[in-house]
Amino acid sequence: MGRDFRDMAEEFGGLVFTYARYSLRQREDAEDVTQEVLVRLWTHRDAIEPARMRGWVMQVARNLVVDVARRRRARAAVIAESVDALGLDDVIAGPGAADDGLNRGELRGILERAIAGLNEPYRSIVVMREIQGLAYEDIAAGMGMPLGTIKVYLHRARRVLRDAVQREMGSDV
Amino acid sequence: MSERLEQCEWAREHMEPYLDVELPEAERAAFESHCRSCAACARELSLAIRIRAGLRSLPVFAVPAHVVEQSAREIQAASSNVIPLRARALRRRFALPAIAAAVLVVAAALWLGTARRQPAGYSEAEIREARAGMAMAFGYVDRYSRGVVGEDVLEKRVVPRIERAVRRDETDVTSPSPKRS
Repeated sequence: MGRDFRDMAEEFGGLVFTYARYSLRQREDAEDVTQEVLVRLWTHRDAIEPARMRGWVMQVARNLVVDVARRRRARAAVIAESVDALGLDDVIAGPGAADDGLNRGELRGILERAIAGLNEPYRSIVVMREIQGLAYEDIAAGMGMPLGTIKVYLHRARRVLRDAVQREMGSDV
Repeated sequence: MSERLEQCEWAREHMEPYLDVELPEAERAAFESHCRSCAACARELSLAIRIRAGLRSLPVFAVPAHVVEQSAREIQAASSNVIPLRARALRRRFALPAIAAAVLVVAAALWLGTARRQPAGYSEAEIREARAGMAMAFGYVDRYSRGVVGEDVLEKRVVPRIERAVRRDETDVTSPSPKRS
């Protein structure tokens, strides 16, 4: 095991941990998910095509995040049973306090709050694409959705994020 | 709806594809042309770009070292509860010699049992020794079959004893000697 496992953990561990941290917003939960994904990845490594490994990892991570969110009732991590039933209005929980500034630090704070307010699957898709920069194909594999659907959800999520930022900053944008 | 508003609506619908560089050349040119002449859409575009840059600037985390270590320990612990395939293959490879050894032991014991009733048989001490050896051999074979001891132990402790017994018995059969003391 040794070196091989650590190489694999280094390659995929950060990916999973980042995704889980943004999705669950609790470090301990994110660590649990990451550990479980790494163990499963090592156990099944010979059965996974190398080209699909990233998608496989994200799919397992996503399933575990959903399980943890349900089991531990993490705040704002309630997963909708049918994503199709979600309309644009309920994608975001609500705007935060208005802020007149737009420096980089404030924008980051606003974005973190806006991401936290996103419902699934929007939040997962935004984290994978916009923060982690994953390919659409890997996101589609991870989410278990067609590529076109991923793009539609991402488009909606971006609009919602933009609206949230505008609301937080007031009409001075 | 005025033509201007329609253009703004079209521009905002195409803003994300524009940023994804997914618009055909003609639409891309039309979009840029509109944003140059429309302050509201230019502000929208500016905000969209800043949001994207802001999202990309959010931290990406490395996996904590202790998570990797715990995962490695969990894998190690799980694997120690399972007989590795290699070991199983080895056991299968040496199962036949083990069975053969057991058969030899049984055969030797039967032969000794028969010889005991013959006038030119073995002494009581030899029979006790043979029985003890047989019991020991069976014990090792049993422990070997349960994976308690390895093939090396079997070879070191049992096989030489059987070989000695077989050699001695062959000598006795080919050149019978008078009753031993």
